[in-house]
Amino acid sequence: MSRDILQIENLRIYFPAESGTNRVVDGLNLTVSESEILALVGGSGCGKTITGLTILRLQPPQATIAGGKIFWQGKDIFELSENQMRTIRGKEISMVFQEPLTSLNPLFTIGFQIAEVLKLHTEIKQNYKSRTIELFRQVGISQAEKIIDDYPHQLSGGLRQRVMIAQAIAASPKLIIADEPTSNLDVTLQAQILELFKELKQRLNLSILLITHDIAVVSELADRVAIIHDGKIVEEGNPKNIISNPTDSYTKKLIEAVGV
Amino acid sequence: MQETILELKNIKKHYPIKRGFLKRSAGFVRAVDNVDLSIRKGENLGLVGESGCGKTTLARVILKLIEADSGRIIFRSNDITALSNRRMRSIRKNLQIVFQDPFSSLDPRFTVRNIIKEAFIFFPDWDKNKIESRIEELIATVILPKDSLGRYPYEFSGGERQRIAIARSLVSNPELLILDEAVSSLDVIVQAQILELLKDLQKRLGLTYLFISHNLRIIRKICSQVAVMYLGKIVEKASTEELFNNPLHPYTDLLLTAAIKFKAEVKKEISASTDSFGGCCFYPRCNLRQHICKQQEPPLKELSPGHFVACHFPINKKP
Amino acid sequence: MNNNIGINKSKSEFWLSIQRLKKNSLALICLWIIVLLYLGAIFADFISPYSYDNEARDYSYAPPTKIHFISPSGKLGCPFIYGMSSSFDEYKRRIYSEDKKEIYPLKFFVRGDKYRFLGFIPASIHLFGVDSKARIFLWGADYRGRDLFSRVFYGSRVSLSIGFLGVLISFFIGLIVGGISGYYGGKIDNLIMRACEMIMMIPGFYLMLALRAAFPPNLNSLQVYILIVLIFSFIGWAGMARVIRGMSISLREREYVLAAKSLGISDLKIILRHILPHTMSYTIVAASMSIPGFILGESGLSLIGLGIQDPHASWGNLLSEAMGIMQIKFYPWILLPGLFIFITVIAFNVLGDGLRDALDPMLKEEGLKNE
Repeated sequence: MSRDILQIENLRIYFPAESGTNRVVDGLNLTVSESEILALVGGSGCGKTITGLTILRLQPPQATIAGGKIFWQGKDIFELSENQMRTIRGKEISMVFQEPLTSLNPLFTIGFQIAEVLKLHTEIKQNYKSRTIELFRQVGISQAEKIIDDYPHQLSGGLRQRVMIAQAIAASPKLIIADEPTSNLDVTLQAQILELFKELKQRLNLSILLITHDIAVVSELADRVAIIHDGKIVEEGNPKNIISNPTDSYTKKLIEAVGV
Repeated sequence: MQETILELKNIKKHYPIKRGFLKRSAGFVRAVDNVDLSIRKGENLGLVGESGCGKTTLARVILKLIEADSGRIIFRSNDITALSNRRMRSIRKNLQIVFQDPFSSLDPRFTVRNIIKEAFIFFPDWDKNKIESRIEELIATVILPKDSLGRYPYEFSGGERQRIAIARSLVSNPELLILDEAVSSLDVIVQAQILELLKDLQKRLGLTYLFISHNLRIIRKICSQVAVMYLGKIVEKASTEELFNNPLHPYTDLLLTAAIKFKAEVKKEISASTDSFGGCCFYPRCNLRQHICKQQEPPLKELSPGHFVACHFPINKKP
Repeated sequence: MNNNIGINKSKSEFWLSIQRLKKNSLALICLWIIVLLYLGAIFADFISPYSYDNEARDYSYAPPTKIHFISPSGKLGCPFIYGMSSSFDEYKRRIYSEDKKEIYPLKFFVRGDKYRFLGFIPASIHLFGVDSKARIFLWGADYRGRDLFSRVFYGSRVSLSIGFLGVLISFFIGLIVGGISGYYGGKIDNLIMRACEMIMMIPGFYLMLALRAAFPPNLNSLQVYILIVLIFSFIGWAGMARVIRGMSISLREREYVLAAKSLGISDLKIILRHILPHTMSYTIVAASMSIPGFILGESGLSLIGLGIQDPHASWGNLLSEAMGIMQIKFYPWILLPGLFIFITVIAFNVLGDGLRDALDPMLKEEGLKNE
């Protein structure tokens, strides 16, 4: 059994609503172990995205943490200073978003944006370019030299998502939180990106927290699946077992919906 | 056999690529290239392909939102290719569309009632009460509460908005409803609900769907016929069961593997076909390609009854 | 995400924006100032004690009349004014002094100059006044002895309405032309945009002067007024059209426009229903920001004598009397119309800012914030 690197204990996140509070996350427990792909699966509005953001303490300002703890390698992240948090973000935990066009800055070349991460979070102080090309190779971009000076809008959707992933692994983090990384992509690209995740996990000894609404997509990929519903984990386990033998009624609905 | 309600013959739509200061055209993007399709009453046709393959352009060409460069559109044995906007109105009554993004297909300044009311342009002689009772009937048909009518689109979730869009498209009791990625932006559970609703509507109202999607898993649930589109061309056409069990075109096979087993076989990036080299459009990505594929474009042939494929070397998994 | 259905009543985005505006007290104050100014303009003939052209040469440059509450016998009573007597100093300037023997009580709702209330009801009642033997100049008099208070209010009719009409007409043209240009694109767009650029190429004030010069100088005030509105509209629509065109280019790609097209709704209806309403939030802000420009333009023209002609008043031509250093030194009250211009311009700008903040979510939602 490998070591747990992330533990979420009884997390509760509330949002102010017009009548009282909206309990978006309500008593969520979750652990991520070293070099494992954990899929967090749930419908829209179930609190999965906000959980991902809260791990990095990037939750929106109107959210209140009503209770619970998040431990990153034994440290309670709610106790950390903003400075300590900044070294965790990007260096130890990085994030891949759903929409790569809006999460890359359109004003800078992609090479520059990756160099920025390298400058901030790694020992590398020169030759950013060669490291960037190496990273691009790792995420399966074949013409790395050619696109390094391109701007995000010049790239196709699949390439942009690869660049995002290259940026995420630039500082060799231990955990990547990927929030619906393939929902906007075509099925063929989706398959490619998912395979890339698997490959990276093995090669770089990464843990990946994969947030998605489609349990079929992650069934092949994830080591473990956690089903989230109304801000709670309702079922957790091996994806094959869950799909063939779901116990929770919401899980059944999710599986029925994708028809695997 | 059921009557054919829509027939497309040799539809072409090319977009010029303009380069440089003087905007000289430097080649074409073949968004839709020589497409032949026909839809029979009650037989839902799924049109599948990656983004940028021209499926949305094709939908807009059918509705004459975009003028085709050449080819003919025949709707219930009327040639509608050259109809004026005014004469199209009587056709549009029977030919409606639901768009992909429920957050942008409803005008945010209108209440739901007014959004649906706009479609009563087909019935200029209806009085207020008749329209109102029909609107209430429609909102019940798509299973939304009656008090939704006074609300604004921003108050609804994606799935609910898509129901509103469907209600609007049903005003005139169309025969053919084009669903352009109508469930792609929804999460799986809502997707399943909308598909359920669509099936139910089909049973009750005798609709036929042209279902456009990049996801074969969704198409399988609702369509009996599938056409696979790649870079503006139809590369394979068959009944759903036949296509899933016995894909003949390497591209279809690739799509199926990706959609069902989530495996990627070819890792090359697609480049849009800006220049035609005369060969098969799938040549650059194909792993079964041979010399002839580069020189000769394969025609769409019927290999077995009802199963068409455009490939020189179709996969043959059956003995 | 939406769990609130059925709890709160539906509100249009516009209603929400008004709620946001209500929280901005500075913008609200400015809104009230503007409302008061316009009310003042509408009821100018009732508020002012004299007609704009009622002159009394004996009172040339009379200073503001003091209103007294304590009678010579030392008792507090109704407000009154003293009569005025004048003499000449060595430079032949009139020196005014109060004549403590003549007492004229300030009366309210008195009969005075005849006018037509709201333009058609004959009336002669004024808000306040004194016996016709004396004269009351709350804010002093000009060189022909006309009451500046009255003339400022009469002048506001021209100044404020020119801004309003100018914006109305130029925005109307701008919206329609810009909407058509952006919606259809192609050759129509090219043609319209080049025409706009022709107009925008020339600096506004010079174009205004050139256009004014193209017409005969001896027009009467009404003709000049109409002419100025037309000139302003001619200059103003181009900028508006360009912005609206940019917006409609992006709006026409919206799926609800396609949805309307697929219903077979006519192009004009689509432009009016689905494109232009979405530019409204921008238009409202732009309108309140560009009214001051029109007011200043009229003032500029009138100041140099090309606008509204004496005896008719506008803030600009009232100020033209204050062009000499002598006048400003000895009769500083004739600068008052300038203060009104100043207040109006500031009020419109602050209100425009407030409106932009209030409408901001709408602008963001339209994705048009930066335009």
